[in-house]
Amino acid sequence: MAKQTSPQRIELVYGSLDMLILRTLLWGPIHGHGIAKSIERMSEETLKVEHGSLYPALQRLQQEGWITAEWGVSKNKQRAKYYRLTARGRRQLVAETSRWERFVRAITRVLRPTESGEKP
Amino acid sequence: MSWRRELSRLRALLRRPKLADDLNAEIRSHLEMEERENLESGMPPDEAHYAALRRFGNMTLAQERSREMWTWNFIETFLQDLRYGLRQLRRNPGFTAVAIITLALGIGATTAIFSAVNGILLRPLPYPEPDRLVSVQQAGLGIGNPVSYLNFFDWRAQNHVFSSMASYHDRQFTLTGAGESLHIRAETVSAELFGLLEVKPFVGRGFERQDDQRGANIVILSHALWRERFHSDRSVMGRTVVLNNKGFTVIGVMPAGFQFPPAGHADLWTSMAVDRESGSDIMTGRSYDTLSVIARLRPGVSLVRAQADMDLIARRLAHKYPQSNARQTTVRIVPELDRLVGNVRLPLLIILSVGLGVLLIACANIANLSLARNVTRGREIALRSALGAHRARIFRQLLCENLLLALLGGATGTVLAAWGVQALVYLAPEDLPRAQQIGMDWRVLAFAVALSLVTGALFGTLPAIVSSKTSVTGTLKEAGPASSDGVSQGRLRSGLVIGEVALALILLVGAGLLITSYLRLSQVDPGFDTHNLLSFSLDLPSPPYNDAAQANFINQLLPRLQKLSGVRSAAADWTLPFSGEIDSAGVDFEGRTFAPGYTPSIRVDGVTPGYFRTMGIPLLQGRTFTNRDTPSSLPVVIVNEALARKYYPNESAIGKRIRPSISATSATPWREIVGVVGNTKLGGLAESFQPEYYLPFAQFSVFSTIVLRTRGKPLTMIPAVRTVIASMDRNVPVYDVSTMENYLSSSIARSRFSTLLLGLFGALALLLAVVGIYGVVSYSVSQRTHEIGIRMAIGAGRADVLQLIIGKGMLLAVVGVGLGIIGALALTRSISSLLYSVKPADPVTFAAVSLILIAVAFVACYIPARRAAKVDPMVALRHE
Repeated sequence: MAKQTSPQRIELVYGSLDMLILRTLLWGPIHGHGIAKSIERMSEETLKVEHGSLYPALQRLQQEGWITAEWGVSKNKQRAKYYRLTARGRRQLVAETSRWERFVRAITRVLRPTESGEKP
Repeated sequence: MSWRRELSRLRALLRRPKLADDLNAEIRSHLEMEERENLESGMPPDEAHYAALRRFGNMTLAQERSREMWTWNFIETFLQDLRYGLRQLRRNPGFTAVAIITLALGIGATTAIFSAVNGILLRPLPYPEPDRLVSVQQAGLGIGNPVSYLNFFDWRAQNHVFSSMASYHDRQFTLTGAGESLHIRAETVSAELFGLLEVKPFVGRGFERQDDQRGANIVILSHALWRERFHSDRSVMGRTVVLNNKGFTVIGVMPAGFQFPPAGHADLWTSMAVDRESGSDIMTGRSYDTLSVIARLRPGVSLVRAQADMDLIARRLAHKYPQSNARQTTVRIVPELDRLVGNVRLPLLIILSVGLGVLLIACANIANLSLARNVTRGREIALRSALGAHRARIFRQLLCENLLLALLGGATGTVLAAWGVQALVYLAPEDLPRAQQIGMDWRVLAFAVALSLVTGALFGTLPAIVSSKTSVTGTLKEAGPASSDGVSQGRLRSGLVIGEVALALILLVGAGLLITSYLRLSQVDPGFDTHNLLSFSLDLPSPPYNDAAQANFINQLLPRLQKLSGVRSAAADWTLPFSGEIDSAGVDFEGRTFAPGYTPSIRVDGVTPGYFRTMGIPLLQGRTFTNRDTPSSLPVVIVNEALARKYYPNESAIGKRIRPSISATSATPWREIVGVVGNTKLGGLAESFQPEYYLPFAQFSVFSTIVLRTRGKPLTMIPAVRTVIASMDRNVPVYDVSTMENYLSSSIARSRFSTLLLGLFGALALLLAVVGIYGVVSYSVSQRTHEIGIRMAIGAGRADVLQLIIGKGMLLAVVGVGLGIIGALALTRSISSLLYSVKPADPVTFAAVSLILIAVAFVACYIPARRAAKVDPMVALRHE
């Protein structure tokens, strides 16, 4: 593993990588490298994505029919494989996102009960 | 696991290489982009490259995990094992070739035998629901006791267990009219037969109930007859054909390939009407037993229940008709397939077991070879183990390799089997039932595949287990390739060789017994001169040939045949030896009474005066028949020596009188014995001489064959014979032309066949066992080269070295032979029914086979031993 400059980089949970990839593709087709960079950028460098681990996940997402892939040419005139979200993928993203948010709310409620309005 | 992913895995199965390439291209493109970004942010080119790689992470892991997505793991590892196995086999061409050839021989031979077992015993009869078909026979000694029409009708009417029951018996006809006269073999069947078999004629109709009545002169042709005689002309339907000078209308033709009885040769089928109109007592005599009966069990009825039902009926009939049925108190019900093949089941299975035995020996050989080979791979295995392969994986790979070897050997063997099957069918005895069903079908192929896999597992598992146990540190530390399990492996290999030798001995003893038996059988004196004897049959049907006309024809024919220059003498005969015809009739002896109700039934023959001279049967006392024995002169009879000895032990039989009850109707006279002739083996070389008596043709004109003693080769006389007969009557067909030597040969064909097969297997077993011994001794020599060098250096001579090596090998051989003898003593009992005048424990055979095996083993030990003794001690000492 490469040494990270920021000690706050968190290991990504395997399953949630799927969700992030789908989210990234919401704005249009991107290639694998672009997805990796995008996730890092959007999370303000907090989420450390080992680039290599993207590819198994991309395979899995293709198999489930949530994304499709197509070879194309990048803006630097390089050959790259572009991924695109499908309608099913969109629906999956919505479902995953709401599940994640419910999850986060539940954990938050337990950790900080007064903030959410619950009496201890 | 979602089904969607499994489905896409399935779809991706064939695109795997392309997917892999695709991924690699994508990863490359990813790395290039990262590298470019790094360069743009100011890194020097080298660092940019490595930073990109580092950022990517574990590339191999990414590739592997991606690959896991589009394939199933076990397929990948299986294919890996397969490829690796193939490579290993290619690396050792010597071993691979020997193994494949050995396996091909073993698996091929066994598969060929199985195809015979399959065709004869396993393939169902060619009728719908054949396992519901049974043969119903009257009880008594022997197989297949026929029944009379009256009894059959009662059976048919009274039973509750059969949905249908039909009768059949064979008949001969002469077909005249269009073209040359033809001898026809026919079956007269009851009307429900074709319905029972659920087979419809291919054109026309089958028999119906009313066709069994008088006046229904109809026939159904077989496809073969229709094709050959009537040239597949459909207009033959409704036409009349002339059989025995009577007109019959053709109402149908059966489909190609149909035959009934299953092992018969019927050219056409007639209905019961023929019997009704025959004028004999066949329809009215309750003791007139000629019919075979086939029945179809009702659905849900078991054989046991059917047996009980029919026994009840039989007892009822015995009670009601004590005259005829008193002895038939039970009925024998046998599944139809059993009836056909029951008596070859045991020999076939024995031969199959022998084939499997040979295969077992082959497995032991290959296991040994494998063990030896794997020792040299010890380092490779240890290395793989050190790199992380667990024992199960290594075991699986080794086993896979062996299974691959077995399948290759099996594939080659199956090709060999295809030829073997052809040879088998060609060599098989003519009376082998259902021989035409022998061939390669899916069952045989499945057997070959299964056998290959089992064989592979058998010879592969042991070496795989042993080799995967290779201790890592021990092997890698040693300079040489030897595995540290040398001692126990050596014992294992010795054990395998001992087993091989024992098995080979058992097989060779079996083969030896059969060969001895066959040789003794073929040298038996049949009682007459078998050379240059031509025999044939001819049809003289009535009308127009009534009894007198028949006798007349024969009496004129024989002198004419005798006048032919190639013919020494001619005679007519009723039951020719080895022709399969045997008839017996009850005989009363004048002045002698036997137990009440018992009349001895003795073999009878009817002959013309020239018969004994033609056949070369010696006259021992009295005279033969002459032209003075006429229908109006004293009724006479000639008996053979066996009869004279049995019934007139202390006196001459000449002048005594006996009364044979030949025909059921006319009163038979007392006949005076005028001559005693030598014995003949009527039924086969293996039987003992039976009492027999001969009636003169003039006084009892029944015959079936004409025999000629020819000067030269018998078959060359056929055209002349045909000409003579045609000159007397063009409409008399001549058929069943053969020589006595042919008949003789056919009669021992079965013994010859099994001897040939077992001899072949025995030879194979011997070869394999010897190769096994050679392999073990040779290997042991190569392992002990170092030790031999030391021994020679400290003073051992050539002879001592020879003794050492040969001693070890011979020990294995002798122990193997010993165990084999014990096994053979136990097992040869099972083939005692196939042996003639040889005991299953015949000491000469055992001794001879043991000596042969030991001698050959000695040679197999000597060759490598000689090599060892020639070794230069200095070279040996340096050898690892």
